[in-house]
Amino acid sequence: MCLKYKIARLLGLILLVAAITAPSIYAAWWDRDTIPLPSGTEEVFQETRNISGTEFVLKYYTNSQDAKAISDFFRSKLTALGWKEKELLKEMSQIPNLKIPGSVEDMLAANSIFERGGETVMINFLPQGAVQDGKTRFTIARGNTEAKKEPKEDDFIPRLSGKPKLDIAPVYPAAALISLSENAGFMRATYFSKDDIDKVSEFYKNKMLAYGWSITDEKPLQKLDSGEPDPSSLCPDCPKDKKIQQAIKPVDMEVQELNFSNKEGDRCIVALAVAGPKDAVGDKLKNTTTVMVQYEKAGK
Amino acid sequence: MFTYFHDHKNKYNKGQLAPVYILILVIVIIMAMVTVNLSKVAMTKTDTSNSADAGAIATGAIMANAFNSAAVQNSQMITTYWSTYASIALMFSYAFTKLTMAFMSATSALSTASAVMGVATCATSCVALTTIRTTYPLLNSAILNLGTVVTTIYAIGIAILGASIVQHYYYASIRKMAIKGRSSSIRNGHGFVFSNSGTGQKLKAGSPPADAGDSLKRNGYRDSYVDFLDGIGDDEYYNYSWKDGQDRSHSVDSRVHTNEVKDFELTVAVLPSLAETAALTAAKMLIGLAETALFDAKLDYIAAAVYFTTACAKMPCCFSGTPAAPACCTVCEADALAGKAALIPGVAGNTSALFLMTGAFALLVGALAGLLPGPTITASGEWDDIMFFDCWINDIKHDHLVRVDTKQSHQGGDLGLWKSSYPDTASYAVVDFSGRGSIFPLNPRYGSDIVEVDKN
Repeated sequence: MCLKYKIARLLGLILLVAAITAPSIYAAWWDRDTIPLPSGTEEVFQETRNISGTEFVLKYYTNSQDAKAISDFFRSKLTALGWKEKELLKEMSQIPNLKIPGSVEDMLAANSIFERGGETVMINFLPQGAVQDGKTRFTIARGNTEAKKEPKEDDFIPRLSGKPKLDIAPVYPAAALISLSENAGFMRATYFSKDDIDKVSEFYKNKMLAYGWSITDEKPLQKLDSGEPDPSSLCPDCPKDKKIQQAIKPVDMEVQELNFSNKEGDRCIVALAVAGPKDAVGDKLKNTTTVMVQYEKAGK
Repeated sequence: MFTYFHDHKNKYNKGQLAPVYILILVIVIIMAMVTVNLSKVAMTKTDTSNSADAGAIATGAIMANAFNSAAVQNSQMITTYWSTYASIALMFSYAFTKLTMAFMSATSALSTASAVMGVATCATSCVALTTIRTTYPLLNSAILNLGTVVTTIYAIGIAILGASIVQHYYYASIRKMAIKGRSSSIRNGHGFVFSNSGTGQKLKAGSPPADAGDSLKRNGYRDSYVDFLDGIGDDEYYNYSWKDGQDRSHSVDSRVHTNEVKDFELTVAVLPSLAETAALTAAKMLIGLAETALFDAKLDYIAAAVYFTTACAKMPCCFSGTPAAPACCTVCEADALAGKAALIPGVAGNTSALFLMTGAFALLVGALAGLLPGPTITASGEWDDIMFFDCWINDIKHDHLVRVDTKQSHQGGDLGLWKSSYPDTASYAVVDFSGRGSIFPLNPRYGSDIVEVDKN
């Protein structure tokens, strides 16, 4: 047998083996990239949201198993797939004099953070028994947390990807979409703007006209006061220290509501709010505005 | 009389039975009229009962529908709370991670600086210099991480305020829908009462002529009745009265009662949203103070390093054994001591920063615990409710009962010999629309059943 023939046979054999094993290698790789789910899991919805400078895909699931069983499932499966668990509760327990209440301890014990090659997966449970319908609700958030650049302050805004399907009202310039709920003839969107409430209010009063809306009612700016906060209820486990007690200050909230209607009889509510410390000049939250736009088609 | 006829029957050959017939006829007529009268009373009674039953079933069915819609909407409110909670909890996890990292870095810097402070002399000044320099990156890292925590708290504040407003309007729209549902049920209940009361067939067709007379006479026409039906609102009591062509008065009453839908029991988060804002603001303030303390500590450590650099430079001379050595040692020891002294405020600042971070930690942990479902409140529907962070509607306080009472009055006619009169007829029906429904946990199975009727 000549050498050429032998080489050709060997190559053929290698190709054959590669052809046979390729799908399983590919499948294994594919499986490696997929987050396994416990049996009986149902996806409720998903959204893409910016969390602390990283875009995370959040998938919301329900399952009839309890949180511990689901948590154990993820711990064993993800570890097998090369994910490394970050033990936040263990790390936090090293902080001296930090008392973690049982409810938070249970929550953090069930929740887990896994990291692998610049990716982060966070699994969060709505506390067991919160919604008493026998279902465990959990969320898997997955994002690439490998820092390409230092995130700026704006990157931290919990911005939701996408925009409303219905173009029924103007969006304040540079406002970030925070939440969105839409169904037939109904839309509720919340935005966050770094401008003050008066400016945003004026914008809606003027620009809604271009969308065929006319103002029907205006609830004037109202100030809601928290009163003097009680440090013992706000932070029962805080160290008893003057500096800490002094940091707990009264806050207030300013709210305004604009009601609009159009020729078709549809209604639109624009609610504006700002909250922050009463006496804080230049507080970041105090100089920003949350806007909620709620649209209801006539007859809804 | 019969005996008389019998005794004298031979005298009367013709018409002797006529009085009997007349008498029988009178009796038959009276009986017929009584029968007609009774049947009319019975028919009116049937109409009254039917209208009460129909009105109660219609009201109950619409109330059940309103409660079922509220239950479905409530499940969406739960989902919104869930998604809010999940994303905010993730932000908290991030803040905790960064705060822990900052705490660990600052702790390492503190233990390093404390160790240096304990041993720094002229002899160890070079080691002290190298060692104290290792605290800079640790403190830089801590300061950087604290900055990230502050920004994350800012983002959490945005998310909480936005979510509390969304949840408030979610609740407000469910509340509005349920209140509207009650109004609609009452309106429809009255509609069914009147539609089944037999009123329409008792009225003249068409519109009242211009000279029809007063409003009662005008009401005797079907178009006026239709206008009345169109104008029915959500009041508990309605009455339709009219006069017929013979000037007889007629009246139909409808009373539809179901309790108001006003008390909504809400499960709200442990802390109201303003308390959350207060906790977050305080945590932010403490972290700001910790950042400043760490920055000042770093400056103190740098100042100490400057002294250790001088001491380290003098150290070879101090241990050289040359005549200049004692002088070098004095300066070297003095610099080492000055370095130690410079470390004291640094260590104090570093310690204070750790203490402040622990406070911030406790506040953040409290704020996270504050997002969990907590007490149940009865919401008024006013703006003050917006201060709470609504999780979901726990219940809509209602006895789930509908009661419909109907009454009809029809004046009899004067027939000369005979004056008919009809008693007022009344009836009622009670419907329970509880079914197996519940607002929370979601079970949209409210359904109406008649549970009590007028047995007369």
